[in-house]
Amino acid sequence: MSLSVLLRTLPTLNAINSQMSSLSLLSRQPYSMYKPFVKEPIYNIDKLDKFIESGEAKKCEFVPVKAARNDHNVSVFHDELTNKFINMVMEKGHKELARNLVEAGYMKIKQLQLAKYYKATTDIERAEIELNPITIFHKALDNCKPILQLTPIKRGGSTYQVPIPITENRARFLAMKWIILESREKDRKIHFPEKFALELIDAYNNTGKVVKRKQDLHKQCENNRAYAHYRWG
Amino acid sequence: MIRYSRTYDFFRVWRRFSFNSTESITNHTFRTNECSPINHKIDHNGRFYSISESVKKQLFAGGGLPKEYQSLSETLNGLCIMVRKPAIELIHYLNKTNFDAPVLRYVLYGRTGVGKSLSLAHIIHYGSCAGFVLVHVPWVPKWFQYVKVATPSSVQSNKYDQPIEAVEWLKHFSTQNGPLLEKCELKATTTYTWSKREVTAEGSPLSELIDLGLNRAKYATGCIVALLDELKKAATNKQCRVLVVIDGFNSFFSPVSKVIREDKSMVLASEFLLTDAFLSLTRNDWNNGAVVVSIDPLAYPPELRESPLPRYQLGKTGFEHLDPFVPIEVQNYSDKEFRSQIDYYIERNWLQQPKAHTDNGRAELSFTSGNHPYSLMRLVAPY
Repeated sequence: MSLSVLLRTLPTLNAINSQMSSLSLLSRQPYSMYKPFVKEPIYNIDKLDKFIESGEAKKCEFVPVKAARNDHNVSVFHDELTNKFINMVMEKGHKELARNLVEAGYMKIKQLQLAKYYKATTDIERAEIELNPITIFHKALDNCKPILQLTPIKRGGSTYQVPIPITENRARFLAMKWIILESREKDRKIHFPEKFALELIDAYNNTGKVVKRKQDLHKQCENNRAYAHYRWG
Repeated sequence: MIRYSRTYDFFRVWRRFSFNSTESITNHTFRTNECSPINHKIDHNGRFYSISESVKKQLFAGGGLPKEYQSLSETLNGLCIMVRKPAIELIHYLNKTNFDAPVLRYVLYGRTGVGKSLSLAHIIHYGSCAGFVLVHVPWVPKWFQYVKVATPSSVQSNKYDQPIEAVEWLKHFSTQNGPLLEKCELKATTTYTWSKREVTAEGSPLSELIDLGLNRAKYATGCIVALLDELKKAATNKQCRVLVVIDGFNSFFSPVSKVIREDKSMVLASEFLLTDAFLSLTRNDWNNGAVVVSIDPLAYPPELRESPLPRYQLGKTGFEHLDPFVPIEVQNYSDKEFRSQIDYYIERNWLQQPKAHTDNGRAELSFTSGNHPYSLMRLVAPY
């Protein structure tokens, strides 16, 4: 059954906002548009196909769904992490500029990797070179994510830097932040996209300043392992 | 029960462009081995042919390829140009031309970014293969919008010269035509007196004239005027065939200029000596040659870019100057051309997202770029 036919037979996706107008003014969550039971929309076509095929869609037929956000996109180029990263690069709401910068960085990555690719002579060498900028970005981000962090905790009049585990969200945030800070630290003649591309390729190969920063943090955590028990009590 | 919702609208749009393409992509013949543009026919439409490094260096060292296209070709390890309908049409005409008749003027026009300059590059390659002497101006607005120095002319007192640009153009001309000029043995037909000591005598080879212009920037513009005049005469006397290729021709008739006198009045394009020289070459008072010009909204000031059509872009004087001419419209990619462009990007590892290689991905790219070549290039660049 093709997607288009299914979409037509599925009232839920078409009637997403059905209950929105009836939201009472006396809602307990004054800053949320939606009641807690309103579901997140699925905007990815592949995920939607799976959702329908697995039969779960049938169950959710009469459950209200949130409206899709304006950065939800079905484009073949859409990537959630990239979108997140663009939002972090953005300053003062200049999203288009931020997107252009990141995309220019991606183009630069492709140029650098292709130069290596066409320089390589054997097929084995060529197969090792990753050309897809989104894959490079994902792996570079994974390589930059810390697994521990330090937090100041006051015990007996003095403050200790205590190593604690880190959540997935926080780790991703730190990795992105470090990449951006490192890309902005450059000569005036070099532009952000170029430095960003170089930084990503370095991080992809598990080298470079951002990975060093992560390792430094881990080392500090290791040094302070004696304080680890201050986390409790 | 279908109520209005944003998401529904979203999917409707998606359906519109994702399920319409029924033709499967099995066509792998996006390249052609026919590397000589003389033989390009309608069979080669939409296919890429490659240009060797040495030819590229000879023909396009001084300009002629759009900057972004050139850097892309370097990244993709080799210059390839798609054989497209306007170029095929032009090559067909040029192959069948009766060169005893007065020169025909061909005008390429179309929106910005549809591939006029690349069609011209194709024609330049054709001209060089077919043994034409090339008179090629890569981008006319460069002479009037971004002039470095404009001085009162040494030849005509009421006109202006651009010495730096003139020397650049002479260099471009000599790299494009160096070997051919020696073979044709073209001679100066009159004596040109530049100053008391500097004289180009009658019967001296044209390369001497070019060398003088290259060494003495002050007389470079005068040299170009003399050179074009000599070429016109030589062509009419059947000593050589001349192909005039000018990109951004409408800039000669632009009502606005960025060159400003001390009293803040504009120096219009018509007040430059180079304009006179090239306008005389595009008149049809000579034969044994051809004139191909392109008209681009970008060559006109920003406030006058509403329409890409020749009458609007050339104005009354420009249109009357070229009339009668053969208009050739350059359009967006056809389906076949679009498919082969994407195939080319995939083969050269430029389009990296596996999702974009599928039928649906292509349909989306076609929809979002509107089959506009430059938009497609920009769209695909980061991914």
